[in-house]
Amino acid sequence: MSYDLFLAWRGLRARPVSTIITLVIIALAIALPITVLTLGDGARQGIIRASDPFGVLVVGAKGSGQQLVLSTILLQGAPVGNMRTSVFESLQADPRAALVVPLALGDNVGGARIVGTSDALLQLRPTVNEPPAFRIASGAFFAADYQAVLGAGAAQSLGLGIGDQFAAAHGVERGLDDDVHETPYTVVGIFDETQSPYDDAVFVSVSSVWKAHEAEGADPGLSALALVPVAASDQLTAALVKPVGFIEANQLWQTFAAGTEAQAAFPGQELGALFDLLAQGERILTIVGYLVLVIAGLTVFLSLYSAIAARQGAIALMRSLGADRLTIFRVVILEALLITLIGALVGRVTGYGASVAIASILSTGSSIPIPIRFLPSLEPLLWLLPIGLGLLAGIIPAVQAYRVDVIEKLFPA
Amino acid sequence: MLHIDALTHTYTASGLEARTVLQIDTWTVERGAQVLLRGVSGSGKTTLFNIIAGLLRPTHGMITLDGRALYSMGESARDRFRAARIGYIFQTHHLMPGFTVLENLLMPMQFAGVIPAHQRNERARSLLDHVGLSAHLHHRPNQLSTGQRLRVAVARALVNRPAMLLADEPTAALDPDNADRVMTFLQESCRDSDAALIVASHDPALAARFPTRLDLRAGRLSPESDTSVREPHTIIESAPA
Repeated sequence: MSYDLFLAWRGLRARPVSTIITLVIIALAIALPITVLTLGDGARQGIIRASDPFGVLVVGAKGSGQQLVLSTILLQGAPVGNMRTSVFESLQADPRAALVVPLALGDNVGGARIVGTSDALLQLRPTVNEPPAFRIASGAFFAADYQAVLGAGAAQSLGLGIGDQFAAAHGVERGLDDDVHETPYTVVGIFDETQSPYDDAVFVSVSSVWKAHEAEGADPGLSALALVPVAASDQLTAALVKPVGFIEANQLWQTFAAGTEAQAAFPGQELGALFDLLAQGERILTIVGYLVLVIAGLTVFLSLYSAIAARQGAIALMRSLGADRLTIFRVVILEALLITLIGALVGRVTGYGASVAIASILSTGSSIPIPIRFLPSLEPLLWLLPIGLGLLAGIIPAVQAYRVDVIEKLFPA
Repeated sequence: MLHIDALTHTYTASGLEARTVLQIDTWTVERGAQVLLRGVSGSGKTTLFNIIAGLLRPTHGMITLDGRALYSMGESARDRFRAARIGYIFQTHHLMPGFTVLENLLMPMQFAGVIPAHQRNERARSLLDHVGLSAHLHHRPNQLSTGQRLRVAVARALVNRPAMLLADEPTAALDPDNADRVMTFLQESCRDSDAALIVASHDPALAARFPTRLDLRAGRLSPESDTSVREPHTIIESAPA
């Protein structure tokens, strides 16, 4: 068998261009589903992990619940709009809410979102028994307007330290250089890492955000150039509400669902809908991957078929030297299997490598970590499919080789 | 050693008349015998060699080699038997393209399995050294001259220490000096291993080297001198399709 393998290997090496093209197509066919599925899995894990530190109900302006969760929990995209502060005040007074954290969004510094909030933020815990999610690493929490506490990631990316000053700009993302508020903020503290998108945010008092916009007489409700809803003096973007219990959480949700002032959204539920979208995309791309695999099978077949047609003289010679028909058949099948297996292996390395690279680029841009895990559940299928295709693609060329007429090929009339 | 009995071979092709190319009543070649088979192109020399080598089933007749009836064996068994017991030097040498000189010698040893695996490399190198190719072990056939390719083919045919060596026009592409060297090596090697040697050639220079010379004319063997041909003129009249 090992000599058959050697012969199969030499067969592949005898036609390097065709072998490499076939190999690349098989590798792509394997890499594509791996990349799609591992990135999808990573995005799910990342989103779940990113929303972990809170365990809250998000209350914000009516509109898309998904957008509300994305903009407040994952700090992605524009906020839905603003809600009146009275909603927040009534939540503070509501016995069903154990903790209410205000959020006023709409400005940024160097692309890091500025979150107007209160010291209630410091009481957020993933679960009752866990330590608070937000802990000061150095300095202190803001005690006055225009003081800022930086998330660990923001401190690093902005290169700011305690005592430094910065000017906030309009909008939730980096905009024009001169589109900035006049009054600068002073950094008074830096948070420990929370392993959430909030690591890339800058925290200030809600009244700082209000004052920044009032001072410039901006149209309340819209950031000057970025056209992003911004919390004006009687408005907030959202509130993170930690309900007293499970029943209260549902009651609160129902209250807002029935009302007209604001909406409440469970991050898990809204992200679940997002996962459905992800799954749909994954399904389509995975089907594309499998189609590429079929094309890869055809390429193996064509490559082998033409190789066997060109090698009939050599096959006849091998027969004359003592190789029986079954040996020849085995060598051709091994050749097909060898190339598909090498392709499958290269595809894995490429697939996981591409996933890690894409995840790194995506998570740098979005601040949502995308952990790439080895997916053992994919393995049986992604080995069996190429092996099956290799066998299938190899059978006709192998039969063709099996039938080679030694005399006809070695001694053409 | 080799015994041929009532051999007939007829080529049939659709639309063409059947053509009988071999008709040999009986022929025996003893172990260690060296026979020169002469005949013009188309006289049936290569067909006869292919039949003796177990590559071409004759239309009729019995071929016994080393006590085994060649065409009573299954095809796989015959392939293995050929690898182990018969060395065949083709007229056009036929080396494996894409394989080195050394690998061309290792291949029949691998298929035959008669030489222990650990001795194969040494055996191949030693033979290649004998034919003056030790400096070309890792060359490919397309990097060799015609004469060098022939020497590889000779070494390959001897590699499994066959009981019977068939050489089809081995010196056709060589100059007289090289032809002489190759023939000396072939004959000595066969003598040393007591293998039977049948050389098909119409090179008159080879005649003096072989005490037994046979003519193959229109598929029939006739002796030039005594020896191994018995009833050479006996013709089998029936030539079924």
